Amino acid sequence: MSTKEVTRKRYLQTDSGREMLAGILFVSPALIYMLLLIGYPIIYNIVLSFQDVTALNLAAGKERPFIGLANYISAFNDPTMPFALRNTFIYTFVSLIFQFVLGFAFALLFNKKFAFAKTLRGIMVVSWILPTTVTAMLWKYMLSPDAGIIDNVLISLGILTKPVGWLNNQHTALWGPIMANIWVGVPFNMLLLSNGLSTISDEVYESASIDGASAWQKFIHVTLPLLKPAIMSVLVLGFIYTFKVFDLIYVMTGGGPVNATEVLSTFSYKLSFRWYYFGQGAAVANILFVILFCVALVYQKIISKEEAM
Amino acid sequence: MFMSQTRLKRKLVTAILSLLLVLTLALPGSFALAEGEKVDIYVWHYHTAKAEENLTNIVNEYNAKPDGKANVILQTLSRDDLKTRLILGIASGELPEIAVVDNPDTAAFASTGMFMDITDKVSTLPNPNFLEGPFKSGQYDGKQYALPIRSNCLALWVNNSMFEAAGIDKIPETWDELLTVSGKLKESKPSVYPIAFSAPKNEQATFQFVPFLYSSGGSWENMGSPESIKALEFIRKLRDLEYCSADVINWSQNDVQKQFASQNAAMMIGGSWNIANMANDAPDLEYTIINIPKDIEYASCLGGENMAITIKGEEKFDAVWDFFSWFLSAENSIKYNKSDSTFSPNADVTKEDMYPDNPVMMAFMEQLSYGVARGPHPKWGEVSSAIQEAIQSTLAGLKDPATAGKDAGALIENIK
Repeated sequence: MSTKEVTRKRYLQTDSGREMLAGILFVSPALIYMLLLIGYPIIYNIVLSFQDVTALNLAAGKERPFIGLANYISAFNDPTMPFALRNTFIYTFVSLIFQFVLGFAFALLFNKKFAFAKTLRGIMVVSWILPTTVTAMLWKYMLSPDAGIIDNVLISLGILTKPVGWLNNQHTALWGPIMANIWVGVPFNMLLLSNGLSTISDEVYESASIDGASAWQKFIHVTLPLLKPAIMSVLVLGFIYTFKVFDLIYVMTGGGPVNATEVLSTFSYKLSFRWYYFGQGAAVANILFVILFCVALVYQKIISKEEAM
Repeated sequence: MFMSQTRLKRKLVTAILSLLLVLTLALPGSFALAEGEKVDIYVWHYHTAKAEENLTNIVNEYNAKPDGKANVILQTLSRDDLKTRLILGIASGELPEIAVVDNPDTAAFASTGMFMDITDKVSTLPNPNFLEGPFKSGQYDGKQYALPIRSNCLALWVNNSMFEAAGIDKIPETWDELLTVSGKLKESKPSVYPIAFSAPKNEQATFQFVPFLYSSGGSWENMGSPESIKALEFIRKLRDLEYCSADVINWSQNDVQKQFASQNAAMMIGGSWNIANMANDAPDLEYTIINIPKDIEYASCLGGENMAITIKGEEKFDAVWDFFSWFLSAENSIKYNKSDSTFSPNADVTKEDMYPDNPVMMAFMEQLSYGVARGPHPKWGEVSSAIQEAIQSTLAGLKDPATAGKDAGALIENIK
C-alpha cells in the first residue's frame, strides 16, 4: 500500500472525510438526474444544430455532416424568422406587463381583509389550473366573428359596428393568444405576489402610518422594496413561461393567418416536424434557449446580490 | 453510537441494492414465460371514435384466427403525434412493426428509410391490384414502401331545406352557378353563410383547395400559372361577397362539419367520413351530396391512408406479412372501408361490392373518380406550406391572388 492510498483511506475515516463522502452521495442522484435528463438533451440539441440533419439521414447510424453555422444562417434568412422573433417578444412583453399589473392589483385587493376574500382568490385561480388546450379552444370560440361573445358584446355596446374577427386578421391575430395568456397569467402573478405580501408584517405599516406616510407613500417605500424578491421571481418566471409559448398558439391559430402569430417555438416545430429540417429546427430552439438562459443568468445575479445584502 | 448507525445504513443500502439486482434479473425471465407462440406486432394509427372501433373489430377477428402468426396490438395516437413519434422513432429505434400513415406523408417517411421496401412482395398478395392514384402515393424513388388501405374524397354537401327555401331547383354545376346559388341563399337567409370550407394553417387547407385548383386546370407544380391563380381568385370572391365566413382560415374540417350540422352554412366541402358525425349531430338534417362545382373540369382531392411495414417489422417479416396480406385482402378491405363510409382502394373491389343502393355513397364514388392525389413528394410538407400560405394570404387579403400564387410558385420551384 502506497502512502498516498493510506492517506486517502485515512482521510475517508476522519469525520470531515465522511461528511465529504456523504455530501457527494447525497448530491449525486440529483446530479446524475440533471446530467442525463436535462444536460443530455440540451447538448444533443446543440450538436444537432451544427449538423445537416434532414429526413434522409435522421436514422441512427447514418452520417451527419458538420456544417458549422449554416443552420443558423438559413434560419435567420428564412422569411418567417423576423415574424417569429418580433411576435415572440411582443407576445412576451405585452403579456408580462398586463399580467403583472393586473396580478399585483388583485393581490393588493385580496390582501385586504373583507368577506369572501379568500374564496374569491381561490376561484380566480381556476383560469390558471385549466389545461392550456382548453383555454385555447375557449378563447378561439369567444373570439370568433360569427358566434363569439367578445365581438358580439363590443357590437351591442356600440363600440364596434362589425365583428373584428380577431384571429382572422393579421393585425389583430396575435392579440388573441395575448389575451388568453393574460387571462391565464393574472392568477399566477396574483398568487406569488399575495404570498410575498403576507410576509410583510403589519407592524411595518403601522410604524409608517405613525410617521405620517400616505397610502401611496407606504406602497412606494414599504410594499415595493420589501416585495422586491417576489416581484423579481414573478417577472422572471413569467418571462420564461411566456417566451416559450407553444400550445396556446398552436391550438388557436397554428401560427397563422400566414405568419401573423408565428413564434420561435412554433417555427422550430414547423422546421423539425413539418418540413423535417431537424438541424435548422434545433438551431431555432437553441436561439430560444440562449435568450432564456441569459434571462435566467440575470435573475441569478440579482438574487445572489440580494442574498449578499 | 455513530458507528452502529453507519453500519445499519450500510446494511440497508446493501439490502436495497441486492433487492434491485434480484428484480432486474428476475424480470426478463417472467416476460419470457408470458410469450406464447404468436409474435406480438404493434400497429400505430390515428383512427378515433367510430373508425377506431371498426379497426379494433377487424384486428380482433384476426387475433382470434387459430392459424394467425401474429398477435396484433393497436396503438392510437393523434395525427400530429403519430408523425412526431415515427420521426423520433427513426432516430431512437422505437418504431412499431406497422404504421398507418396519411397518404401525402408517405413519401417523406419512406425517404427516412424507416419503411421496408415491399416492391417484390406486392405480387404475393391475394389481391395485388390497386387503383393508380392511391397505389402511387405509397411509392418513393420508384419503389413501393406502403400500400393504400382506404380512400376518400371531398364533395359538396347541400342542405335540402335551405335550397328549397331559397327557391333553388337546380344544383350548381359550375363556379358561376355556385356563385348564383350562393347569392340566392344569402338573400333568403342573410344570417346563414352559403358555403363553409376549411382553410387553416395546416394540411387541411391544401386538401380542401385542391378541388378548385385542379378544376381550373391549375396544379401544385405550377402555383403561379394563370389557371392556379384563377382558383385563388375564386375563393377570394367567395370571401369578398361574404358567401363564406372570415373564420374559414381558422376552421378545421371538423369545425366545418359542425357549422353545417348546426345550419350556420347551407353548403360545405366535406368527405364521406363526416356522415357518421352528421347523423349524430343533426339526425333530422336532410342533405344531398353533389360534385364540387367545376370551372373547366370536375375535380376532388384524394385522401386516405397507407399501411407500411417498418424496418422493425422487417425483422419479424413472416408474422407481419401474415397480418398485412390478410388485412389488405379484398374481403377485409371491403369490411374495413364499409364500416367507415370510405372506399377500398383495391382494384378488385367493385362499386357494387361497396355501396349498392346507397345514393350518398354513390355520389362520393363519382367524386372519387375525379380525385387528385397530393404529391407524392418527399418534401410534401414544405410544398403544402407554400400552398397554405397562398390560400391564407389570399383569404385574409394580405396579397392579391396573382401575387400569392406567384410567390407560392417560386417557393415550390425552390423545393422541387
